Amino acid sequence: MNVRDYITTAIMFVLMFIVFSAVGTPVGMTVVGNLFVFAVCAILWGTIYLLLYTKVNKKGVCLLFGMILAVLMLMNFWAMSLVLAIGAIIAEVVWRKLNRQKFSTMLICFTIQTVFWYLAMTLPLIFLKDLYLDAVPAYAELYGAVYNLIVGPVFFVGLAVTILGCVIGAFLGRVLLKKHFLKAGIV
Amino acid sequence: MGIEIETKQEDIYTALDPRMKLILLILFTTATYISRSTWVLLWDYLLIIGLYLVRHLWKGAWKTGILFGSFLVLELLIGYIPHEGTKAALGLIIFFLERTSIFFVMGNWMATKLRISDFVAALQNMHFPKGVIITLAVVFRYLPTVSDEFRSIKNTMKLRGIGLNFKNIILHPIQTGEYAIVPLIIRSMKIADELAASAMTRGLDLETKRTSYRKIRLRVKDFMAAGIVIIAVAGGFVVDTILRKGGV
Repeated sequence: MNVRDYITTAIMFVLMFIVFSAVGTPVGMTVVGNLFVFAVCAILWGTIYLLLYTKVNKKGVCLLFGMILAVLMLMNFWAMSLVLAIGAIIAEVVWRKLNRQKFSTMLICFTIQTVFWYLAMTLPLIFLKDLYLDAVPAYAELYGAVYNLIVGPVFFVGLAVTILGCVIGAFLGRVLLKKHFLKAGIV
Repeated sequence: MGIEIETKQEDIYTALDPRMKLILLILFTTATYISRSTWVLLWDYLLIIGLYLVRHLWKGAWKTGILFGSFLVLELLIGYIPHEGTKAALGLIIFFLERTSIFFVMGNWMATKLRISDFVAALQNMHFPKGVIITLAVVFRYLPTVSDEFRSIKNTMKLRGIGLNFKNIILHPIQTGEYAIVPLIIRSMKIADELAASAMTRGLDLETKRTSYRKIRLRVKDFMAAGIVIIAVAGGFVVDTILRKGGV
């Protein structure tokens, strides 16, 4: 990768983060909404990731993108950062093993990175449960029940919806890539 | 080696090495995440406002104070809601907002008056790979720019009757997303090309280590300045633990 690729990766990262802040933050205001944030964001992220993988179709792009996110999330909660780093490594391994030119490879790598971000965001719900119940004993019983549900069956529902969001986002991204970016000479 | 100069005197926290600023950011985000008591949270908020005031960032201190004050007032008012379910739901939202907003507040504190060249030099001294350094520097540099670009796009969409409002988002979500995202991406790609040309002109693609116009190294006063804040944050936890256990 060269300087142009690093800059393109950085710009795509900023766009991805803006979508997360503008769309994901309101959706994720509640415990339940938190589980569907990435499904909603992935629909818009598909275009960004597809364009990134098309413009910077080189080894190392998945690792770099994931590691930048991991470094920034280190400022939030170290456990999230660790999970994101693992996701970046797995996505990079898949990126190198499969044909990078194919849409299916881009879809798989995009899904892996988004799913690992979902896994990273659900960790605070597990770590913070005791802290929260300790801080608000008045409704500890209600939230104990809610938390047990959230990190149980609903977790897998959220995971499935996230993967579905990634698939929709990737296909939407492919349509937009052909419709707009090819014409504009961006790809 | 290049010429390294000392610039005019700044207050200790503005002149603080970027690495120490990063450590303080991680400290506060971690401390607020693990705080069990609203009093500890309040203490951390006061320290953050203090950090803004020490750097004479009056507007930032004022906005931060309003933000944190709102959270604490809302937390107090939620206690008066009669319906338990609503009280619990709103309480949870406030609980997470009180903790996750610290990342943005401290990020803003760190990024204000931050010279990107100092940031790059600090990361170079930490032996980060060149790709990560360039990417992180562009991320921090481009973040304020993208908000200006997006504002222009929103105004243009409004002029053409396809504004980014609640009605269009609910009735035509995919179309509205396309009208907002696509111009932003195309504009960002043009900016990326300009940035790449500028970076290559400045020799960023060379293999040799870049020198810095300003001296960027960790000094005793950086450790002392950060140490004072770390001790203050830790002190809050210690006092809270002692009081919870009913005394020493």
